[in-house]
Amino acid sequence: MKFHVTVGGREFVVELSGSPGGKGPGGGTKARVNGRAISLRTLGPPASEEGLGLEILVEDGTRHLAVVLLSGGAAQQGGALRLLVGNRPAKAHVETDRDRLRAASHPSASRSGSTTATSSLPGVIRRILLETGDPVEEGTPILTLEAMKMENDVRAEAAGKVKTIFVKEGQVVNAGDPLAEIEREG
Amino acid sequence: MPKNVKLKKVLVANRGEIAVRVIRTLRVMGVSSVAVYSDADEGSIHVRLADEAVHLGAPPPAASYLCGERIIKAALERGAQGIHPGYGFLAENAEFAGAVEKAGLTFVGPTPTNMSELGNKVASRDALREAGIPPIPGSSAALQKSRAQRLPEEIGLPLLLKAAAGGGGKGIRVVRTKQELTEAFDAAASEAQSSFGSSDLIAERYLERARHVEVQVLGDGTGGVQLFFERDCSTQRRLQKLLEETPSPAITSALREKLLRTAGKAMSKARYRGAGTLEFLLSEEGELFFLEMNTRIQVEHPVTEVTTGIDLIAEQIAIAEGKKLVPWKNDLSTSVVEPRGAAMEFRLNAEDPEQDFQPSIGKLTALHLPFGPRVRVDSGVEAGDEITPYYDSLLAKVIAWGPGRSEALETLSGALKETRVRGVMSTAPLGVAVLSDRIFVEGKNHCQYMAERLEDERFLSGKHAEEDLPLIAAAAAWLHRQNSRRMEARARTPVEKGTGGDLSPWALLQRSELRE
Repeated sequence: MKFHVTVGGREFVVELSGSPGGKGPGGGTKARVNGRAISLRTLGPPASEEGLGLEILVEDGTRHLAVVLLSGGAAQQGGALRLLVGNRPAKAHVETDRDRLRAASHPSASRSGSTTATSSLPGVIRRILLETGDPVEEGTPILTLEAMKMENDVRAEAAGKVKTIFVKEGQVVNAGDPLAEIEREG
Repeated sequence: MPKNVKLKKVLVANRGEIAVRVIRTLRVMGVSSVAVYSDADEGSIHVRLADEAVHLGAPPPAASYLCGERIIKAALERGAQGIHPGYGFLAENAEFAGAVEKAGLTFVGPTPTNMSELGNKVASRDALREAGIPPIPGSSAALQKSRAQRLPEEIGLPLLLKAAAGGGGKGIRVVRTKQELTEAFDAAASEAQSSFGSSDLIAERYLERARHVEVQVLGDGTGGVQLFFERDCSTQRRLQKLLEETPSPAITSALREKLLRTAGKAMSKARYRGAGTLEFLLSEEGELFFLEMNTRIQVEHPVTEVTTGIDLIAEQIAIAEGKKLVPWKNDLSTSVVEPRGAAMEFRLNAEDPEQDFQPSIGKLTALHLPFGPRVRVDSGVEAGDEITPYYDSLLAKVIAWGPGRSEALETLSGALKETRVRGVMSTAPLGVAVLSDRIFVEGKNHCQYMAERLEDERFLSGKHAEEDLPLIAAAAAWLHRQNSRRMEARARTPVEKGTGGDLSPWALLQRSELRE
């Protein structure tokens, strides 16, 4: 698959093949960046549930670089990937050909479908008030999050029904973690 | 309190790096240690390092580390003779210190009287003014408009007008010239009225580009004192210190002498006991103003230790056992410890410098703290630990020494580049950025420096090498593909209420490998 990656003010075309989970010579993913051969493999230990801390070693035959994923999952949907290279942050914007096609033909695609409520602060899930399939109005409380010693209701951003609840009571969540997905009406 | 007690066993009423730090010294001194812990800290390093440990309660501090009675009871039950409070929690609670001594135990810290006198802003300001350094000039009573006209003469310019009932930046005006005063007064008063329902204003001298400097002191409780060169903590954000160094790049020997003489006089007069720190602001024009006193060991004490070779925790214990220091006779040659070289400390916090320093919680999946010549690390966490929302976000302090400031800076920079924190966000990128920033390198940082530099979006990231960009792009493409697959998998397996959503990207990595 082809990816268009913008980083450091420059755009690169990246083609990927294979999986970076493979170990040893010959393992890992091969990439071509603007035609140049680059190999990738993951470094241990395992990342967090959200992919936070996932680290990969990138080599082009003469140099190598460890790149860490800082923001993963829902937090980066549609936005830039936050990376860490040598303890220096970097932002990369990634699009596939399909993304580009979709953006061109459905400029308002994100207005229908579903919306995901994320945690704005790190905290603990105190109570889950709804179940999968429950109907919601805009502003209906979905769950209660205790953060900074205060209880906050997390509310539905749109009318519809609860599609997924990603957390359980007592679970500790980080800022940006997905909490619940609401399927919009219509 | 009995004189010359011998502490054979000490309870450490704290957690994290400072509990580890205190237990280390107790061990070196041959003193047994008792740790305390909450449910969240059951497997922590400080618990395992101590000779004994006592469970306190649930994770919130009010149910564990702030339960003074339970802590005193634990100390008595375990046969400890003393309690070391660390910093934070009960460290500056005069009532707790009194209760400890009433129970027949030794409080490793100031006397309750020291704490209530010097921890009190009004009383400590009077004491320091008398010793030679005034607080920031200002009026604490509500101003009449006619009186406000005399402020430039009384407290100097620029000055700050602020709502007496205020907060959050509302009803505040900076006045730089006398001409601006009337207009600024009216504007601030009306803003104060609409925001807080009262148009009362107070004024104080506005110190732009001031530096935070502080003096470490030890007192023996009878007037003997020992003083240390200043620490400079100007690299701070919203009054949270991020990086501390000694000596200050902005302090002349004349200013240092003034700081030390004032500190010696005030501490001796107060018959201060134990370790404490006097905090000051140094204006751009070279005037010193007293801020407040911290009657405890501070987070940044290691920079003083590595430049003097003195273990301040060991001194706290010795003083608690009755050690006497040289009586203060206004003689700096006998009361001041001469340092060697320079040191810097960076606070590695579990916070996201790119997201307004939001605390970051979760499992610390990997941790590599730096080692090497001239590097010291104080930490209380290890890989696998859960970083919880209950306590402060400090993971570790990285301290570097050098014969001069630039060598200490380079060593700290190298150490932070090597530091690896995975699973939670850390301030390591901030440290790397600050230590390569020209303003900091030249020692021209001040208390607003960090806020000013963080406004520049490129401050943290710097400029990545041109030849690194294709490699970063390849990594980004792969991570994007991995993320998309994870989102797809998640959408296919909705999580029922109560089952939790723990699809690890590694589990998904296995699946995607099978697919390929």
